[in-house]
Amino acid sequence: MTRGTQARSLDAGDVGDAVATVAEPLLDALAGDGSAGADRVAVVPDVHYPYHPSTGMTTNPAVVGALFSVLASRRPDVERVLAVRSGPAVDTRRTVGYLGYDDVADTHGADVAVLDDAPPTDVETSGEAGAVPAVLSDAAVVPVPSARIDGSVPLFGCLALLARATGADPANASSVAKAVEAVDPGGALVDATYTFTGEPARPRALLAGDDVATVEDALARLLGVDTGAIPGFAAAARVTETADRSARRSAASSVDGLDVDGLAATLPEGELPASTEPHRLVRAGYRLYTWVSGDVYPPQLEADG
Amino acid sequence: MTVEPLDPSESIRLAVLGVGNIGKVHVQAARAMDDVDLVAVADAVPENRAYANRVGVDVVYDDYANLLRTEPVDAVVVALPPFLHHDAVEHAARRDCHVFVEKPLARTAEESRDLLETATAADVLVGVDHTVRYIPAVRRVREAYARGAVGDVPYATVSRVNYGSFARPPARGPLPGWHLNGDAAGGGVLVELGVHLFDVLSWTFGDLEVLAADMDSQLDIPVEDSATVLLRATETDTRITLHCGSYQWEDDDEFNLTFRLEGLTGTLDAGEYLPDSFYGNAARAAVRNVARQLRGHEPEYFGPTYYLQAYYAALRDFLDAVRAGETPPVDGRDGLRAVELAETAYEQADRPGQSLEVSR
Repeated sequence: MTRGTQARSLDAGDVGDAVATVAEPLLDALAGDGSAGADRVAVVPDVHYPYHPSTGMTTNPAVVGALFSVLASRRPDVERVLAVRSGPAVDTRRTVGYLGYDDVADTHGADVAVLDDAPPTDVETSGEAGAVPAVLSDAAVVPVPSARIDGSVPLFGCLALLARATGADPANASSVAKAVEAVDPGGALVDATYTFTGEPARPRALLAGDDVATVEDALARLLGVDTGAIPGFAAAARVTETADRSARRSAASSVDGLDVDGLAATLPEGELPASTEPHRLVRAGYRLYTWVSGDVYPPQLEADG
Repeated sequence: MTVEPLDPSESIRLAVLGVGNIGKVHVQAARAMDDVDLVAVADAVPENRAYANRVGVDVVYDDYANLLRTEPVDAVVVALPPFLHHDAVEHAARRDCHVFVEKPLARTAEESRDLLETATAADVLVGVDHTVRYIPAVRRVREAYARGAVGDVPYATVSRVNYGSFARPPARGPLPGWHLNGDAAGGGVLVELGVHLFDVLSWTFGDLEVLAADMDSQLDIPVEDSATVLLRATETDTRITLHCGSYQWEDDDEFNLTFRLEGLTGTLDAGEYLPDSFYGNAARAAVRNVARQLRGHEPEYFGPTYYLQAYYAALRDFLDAVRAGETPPVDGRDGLRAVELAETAYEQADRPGQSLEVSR
């Protein structure tokens, strides 16, 4: 079951109450038997770049802090890990610090695991050998994505976040499915306190459940994205399917506690800002202009390389 | 200060120390000047040296001190990070070389004063790249005010907001380096952008005093990314609010600058003089420059990218002063004043304020 709610406000206390409400099924699963009941819970937020959480482009640290808080009260013995990896060529340690996650980890007694240089462990997925960061392999992994569209994939949700966490390409369907199979996620919590769908918005919403595929499906509905366009979605849904989930998936047509479609209708429709990298035709045109006019070529129009 | 003028029949031999973001603009501006011989550049970053080679600068160094020891130059542009300004000026002064220093002049007022004493002792001229006062819209407001177009001005506001050295989406690395290191940069956005605004205000209104200041950061970064300062112009008794920020996503066609004077008979607003459309302005400037070329005239350099024109104009003014052996129009004292105001604002911000509770 995927549960949803809207926080009364974005004050830390109200966000904490909302997380406690929405994450109950997820916490039930994390307290249960099997891999989801592991001694370690690794929470994976979206920290791809130090964009302020109010832009909707990164996971709100208040949401992650609240999840650690309810997790600690429900399972005080569990080892809490904040597992982080930023986008390509972006320093994860600095990004995590700039976003305030060092304080979150300190406050809630969580260890910060920087996945870029975390020791790997061998895993076998669908009969193929691979490797993932060891800190993820024997933990219940909980992706906490922001609710945002992305340039490389239609939305950067639970699956893309899990893929990045393992070092896989979020845009490659096969890699995404293998990542999901390798880490066996214990559920997911979507931070839609702020969203980005071409423009930022603050719907104050949260979605959570013990089945990463149905949570991703709810996020896709919120952002108006067809799950068929999400790389690896179908395969990930297959590898995370259990008899119990199968029955619930076919029965679940709505998110408990939240009118996702109604909320989706209130969100802006748009695209990511255009790249600041000048188009090659702009560069060519400007060079022609400088040749004709004698003007100089602005360095800002140089390709980034 | 006056020094020996340069031979008007000779080119000015120039070097650029630091070919980062703004250093590249200086390289291109210098290359466009007929009476300037861009002798060499220096940069520790191989990609920046490769850029210089690519645009036609054959002589590149990885160490500015080595360049200054080796190359005979009349003037240098110091476009290095602020923690290197003092050292670079010392090296230049030893070679009797005039200096055009990127803002801030130095990291602190004390370092700025020491830098200026070094330059004065060596009889070298110091210019400071406070380009915002060269932006045409800012100049027009200041000119209108100076001719009394709106009478006295009890209140003014000035602001500049951008995204610093961060990348707006789509994200790309690496993250900013020395810009977020207060020891290297001298501070945060107040010394990155605020000093420009202090300079514009001093240029417009004369002496300023800092009444109050507040600094903040939207992220958990080591320096402030927003600064708000309340000032009073002592000669005109104008109250001024200044705000600078490096927190806002900025597109290529955006230039978030305000400069607004509330006068007794009306308002002067730089926004009214900024182009309505970046691309429309670019197209018109391009057509004008092609027409000028056809008539055999020099183009207005960086015409389509109007905010880069200011860099060309500022460097041109400095080099004209060097050729004439005269004090540059934006000189070391202007740079020092801006740093002093920033320093005072930091001190004011550190003072605990008194909150007044409003009873209902």
